[in-house]
Amino acid sequence: MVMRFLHVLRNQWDRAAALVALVAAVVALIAGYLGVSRTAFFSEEIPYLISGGLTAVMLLGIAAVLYLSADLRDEWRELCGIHATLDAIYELERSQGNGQSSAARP
Amino acid sequence: MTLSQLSDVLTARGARTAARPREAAAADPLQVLIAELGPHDVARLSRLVRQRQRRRTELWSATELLVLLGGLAAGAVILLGAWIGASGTSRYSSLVGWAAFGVAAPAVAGVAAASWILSGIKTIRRETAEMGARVTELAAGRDNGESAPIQARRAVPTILSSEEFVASKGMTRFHRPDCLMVSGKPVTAASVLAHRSAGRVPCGMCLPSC
Repeated sequence: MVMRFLHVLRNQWDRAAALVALVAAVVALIAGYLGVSRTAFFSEEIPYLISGGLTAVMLLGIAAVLYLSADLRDEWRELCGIHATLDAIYELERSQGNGQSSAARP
Repeated sequence: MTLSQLSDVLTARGARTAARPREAAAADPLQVLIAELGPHDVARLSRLVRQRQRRRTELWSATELLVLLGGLAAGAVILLGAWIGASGTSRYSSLVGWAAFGVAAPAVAGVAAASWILSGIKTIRRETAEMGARVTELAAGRDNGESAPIQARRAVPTILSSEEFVASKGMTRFHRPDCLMVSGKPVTAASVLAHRSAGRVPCGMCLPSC
């Protein structure tokens, strides 16, 4: 079970990192809210707004980038597989065209 | 990727690209071709596929990665500076100024992130278009009862390696001047040596190195 989890984590590291960034963003948002709500002075609220709110926005952006990157990387891997197969088919057909045996050619 | 996986992928891709009938229609002949291969050819094809998959290139270049990391790092530094600045003052005007400065952090990081995602999408679109053209050409060759490389070599006399082939700046392959892959594209001619030193490989369709 643990090994399987680690295997999934290694293969899906970008999605796992996106999840971690999302959780960190929520934590930063809650911490910022708590900090602001516990003070009555405007001058003490602004640092919480920056360290909590803006940090949460940045972390949310990072989570989005990681998740989108994972999707793009999956699509790229799929394309590379198809390209590799096409290359192989061309090479196979070329060698058949050069006079090698072929069971497939009509 | 096994042949059955390839077949699944092509079927799924054909369904997803229903709005692009050229690619969807071209997927079927490729599956027919694979189905027609004998056991010996299938084994050889699988071996060739594995060899080529090892040569896979990355979706993003090192420069693009540096731009992303640089943007994120700049955002973090701006955020830290704004927080330190805002913590050290109690004047209203200064606080508003530091808060406005802090807003620049997600903006800078956002621009870097958008650049990263857009460059990835652009590369994938380019590769998909190239693949569609290759599959179409393969299908055309099958329709005539000949493989595409054989057709290409019959149509175009063998060119010596000292002659020039064409490619454009962003291409990863170089082509014969009359290759369908570069038809209508702004390309420049160069020698095989120049293309290879630029990291390009011969086009699998027009076989410029044959």
